[in-house]
Amino acid sequence: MPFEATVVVNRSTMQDLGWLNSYQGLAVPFLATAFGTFLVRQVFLTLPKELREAARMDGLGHLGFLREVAVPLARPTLGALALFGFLSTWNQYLWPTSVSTEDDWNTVQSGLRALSLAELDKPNLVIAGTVIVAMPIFVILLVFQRQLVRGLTAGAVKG
Amino acid sequence: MTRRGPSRVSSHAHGRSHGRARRDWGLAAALLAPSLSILGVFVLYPLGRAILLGRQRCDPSGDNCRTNGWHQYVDVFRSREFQQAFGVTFRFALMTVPIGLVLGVALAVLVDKQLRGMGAFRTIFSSTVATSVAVASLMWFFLLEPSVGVLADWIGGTAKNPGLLHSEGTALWAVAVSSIWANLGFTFIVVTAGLQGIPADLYESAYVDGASGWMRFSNVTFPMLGPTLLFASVVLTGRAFQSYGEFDLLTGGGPNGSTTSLTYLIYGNNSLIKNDQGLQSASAVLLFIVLLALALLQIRGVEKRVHYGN
Repeated sequence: MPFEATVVVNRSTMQDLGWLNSYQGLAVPFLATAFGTFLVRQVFLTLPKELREAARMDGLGHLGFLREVAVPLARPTLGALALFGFLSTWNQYLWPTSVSTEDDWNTVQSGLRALSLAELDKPNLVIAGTVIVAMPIFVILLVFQRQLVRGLTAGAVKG
Repeated sequence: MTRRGPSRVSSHAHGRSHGRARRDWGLAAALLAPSLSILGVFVLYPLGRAILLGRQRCDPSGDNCRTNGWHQYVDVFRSREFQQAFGVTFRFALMTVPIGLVLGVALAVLVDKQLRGMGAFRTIFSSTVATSVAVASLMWFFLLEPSVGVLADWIGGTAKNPGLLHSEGTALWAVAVSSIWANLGFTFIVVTAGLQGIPADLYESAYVDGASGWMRFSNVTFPMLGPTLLFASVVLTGRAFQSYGEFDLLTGGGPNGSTTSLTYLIYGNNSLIKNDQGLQSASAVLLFIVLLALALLQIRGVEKRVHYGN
């Protein structure tokens, strides 16, 4: 589902809610994603039925099973999803530039855009900004490469 | 397959299981509610609303919108601006997707060996997956800009004056290069994972049969990568059609509209329709339909020929 097709309406929703230039405006549309739901569902589908039966014998209800068995078993996927969500949020461009009108509410990406427009004649300044924005993500990539690969390739495996 | 249906529940337990089923539904609804409400408000509603808004026409200041009717979709699709942006976007996808796929496969095959030091190359080739569109675009901007960039000096000619990003003939290619580079990490990672899923005994029997390196690639690697390549090309095509930041930062849709993509036509600061929600929505809905059709075409057209193994 391409988010790009919905930006015009979502922006005016945010305006009506008074959520322009706010954390709610930046974040709420991405609190639930079809991708994340799909990914976690794939893991839950692989859990054997016997596990659920055994948990029932031990007196675990649905929530108990979710908390004690299903979520711990899905932890690697949840980790990949968290990492993937962080990266894509950090790197978002169109939405932050649409929903923030004040410089105080620039994310790193829309801030970089503002910096490049304001200081075009000082390339070293803009390049320094670019490096600062890229650095944390590179460190994360170095540390969590495996989890990221899992998140990115999840859609490639035919379920 | 046997299922445990209500018929197998003994009669004296029936009343209790009925109550439990109702409680199960309640719990399911409670767990689904947060996600469903967000997807409803920020995905489904805007899509429906955009379809309706696409009939509206506003005056240049963005106020006084009135309903213009469904034929506005036809008008927008036929308009010179939409057709030009559609052409730009289509060419942009044709530039970025095939080259990106070939480069991604080449890099992945190159380092798919159990040798010391390959891990470092894998990290380097994956790294662009983490760069944002703003970082990648500004980097390429400074490489290509004649006043500061080294590439402009090396290439010379148009690259020096007026600069690849400022010439109508080369601007789209220059943006495409930045985009190919930025997406290479993703393609590399996906193809590497695909390569690791190919069973080693296929290569062994090909080797025993005396297949050369190229024959092993074209008869084993390439067919076995089918599903991976299909996935990567659908994702890359989708990204190409939805690219926005590259155009916004590198060219601002210019020179002379030569890099005004559909997304830039809808959202760009220099766009003619930036104050007209109706025309924006109509264009966005048309973009959505094109994307959907392309994804279905790719999957339908290739699926029959793709070998999924078992």
